Amino acid sequence: MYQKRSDDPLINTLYADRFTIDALAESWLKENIRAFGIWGSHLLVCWPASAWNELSIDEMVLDAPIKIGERIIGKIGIAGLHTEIARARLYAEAGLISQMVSMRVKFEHAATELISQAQLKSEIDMAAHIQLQLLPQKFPQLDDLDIFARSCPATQVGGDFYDFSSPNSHPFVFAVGDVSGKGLPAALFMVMTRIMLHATAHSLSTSDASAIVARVNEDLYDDFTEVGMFATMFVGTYDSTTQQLSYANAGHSPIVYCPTTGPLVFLEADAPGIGVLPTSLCKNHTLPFHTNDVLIVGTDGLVECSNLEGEMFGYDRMLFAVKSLSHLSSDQIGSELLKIIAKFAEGLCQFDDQTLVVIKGR
Amino acid sequence: MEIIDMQVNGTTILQLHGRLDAYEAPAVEKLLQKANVNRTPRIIVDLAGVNFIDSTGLAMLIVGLKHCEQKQGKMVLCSIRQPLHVIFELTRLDKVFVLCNSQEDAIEKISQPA
Repeated sequence: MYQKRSDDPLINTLYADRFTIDALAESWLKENIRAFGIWGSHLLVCWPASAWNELSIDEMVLDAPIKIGERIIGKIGIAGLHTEIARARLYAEAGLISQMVSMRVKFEHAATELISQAQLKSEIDMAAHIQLQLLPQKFPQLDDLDIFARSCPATQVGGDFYDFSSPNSHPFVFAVGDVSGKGLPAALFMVMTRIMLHATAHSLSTSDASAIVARVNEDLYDDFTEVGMFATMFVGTYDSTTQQLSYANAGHSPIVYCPTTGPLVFLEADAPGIGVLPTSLCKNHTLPFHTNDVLIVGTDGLVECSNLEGEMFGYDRMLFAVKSLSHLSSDQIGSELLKIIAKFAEGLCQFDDQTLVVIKGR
Repeated sequence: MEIIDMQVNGTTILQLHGRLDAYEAPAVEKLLQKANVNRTPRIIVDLAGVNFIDSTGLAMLIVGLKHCEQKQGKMVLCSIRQPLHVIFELTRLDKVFVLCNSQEDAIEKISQPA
């Protein structure tokens, strides 16, 4: 059997003594599903159901549908038969061919879909792996600070991030951010924002956290505007010589400052996130940060998760939990706080990305 | 999400009901885009019926505002319920949007000359 394309680009002509199911199915899948074939002295056509009227062949044996599920995507017809017996026999055969082509076409469709799903999944797996690797895997070892960090995306990849400057840099810079949305779009912008932040903190080398936020906003405003996204961000700098912590908060929450000498306070934002306004309104704030003082920087996925009754974990529970854990090491505070939140939301899927950084004065 | 799209004296009023999240935001975004086709768009988004907003919902409103301001228009949000108001305060988007207590206040605000 051989096949050739006709002059009409829509029509694929199969010349054969006998059609094979594979050739027909292939014709459906690759050749715009219009096929003529010569079967012995007869003509066999394989045509889209919607375009059946294009054909004007007498003595056509019809109604042998090619189906995917319940949808008829084409028909097989046989023409040129002159006896009732031959017609009846070939009619039955056309029905059989149509069923076999249907199955083959369906199989090909399912296989193609499976392959593309598998390819997409493996690409997302790879993106998730790369994204997690991009976040600092080892927490910086500093003489004055004990640090914990963890990020758990709601889907495989997410828009939350944390970052630290090199432990030897002066001042030491840390940040937590949350890009709007979820999944791959958020993940792409998360990587971009984190890299920009890291480079900016390194090049400015300043303890003025608001200057870092302002520069990142300036550099990324157009990109965020282009795609209709924004990112909340908390940037902190720690100066070991003065034992002071400076911070700038661009629309980010929750942040809990837990000093040994006073009550716990939420450090609220004084400006909206990155990409919202062309010029950042963030101010720089300074706090004393001594031995055993604790700073918790989370993302909203921690406080906005709900339990089975539909209650949110909320800021009061967060404050209460932090208070009860603040005497522990940063690693224990972080792990225990995440356990408390996971227990609260037990039985429900994690809805939003959750990221937590704990910093404790040594 | 249920959306009521009204035109009152050249102002587009969108009354939203339900959750304003990643699944529902695109429908609202389309209506904001439509309103922003006008020469100097005037838009009121009434959030009285909205009980939840996520970051995609917020981003969609920010996009609407940016486009509106690019065309020297005005966009006002009104009737925001307490749980949503907290989110606008935490993210400091209360500094970015004009927020009004009621639709009447919003109509008055949007009718004032710039």
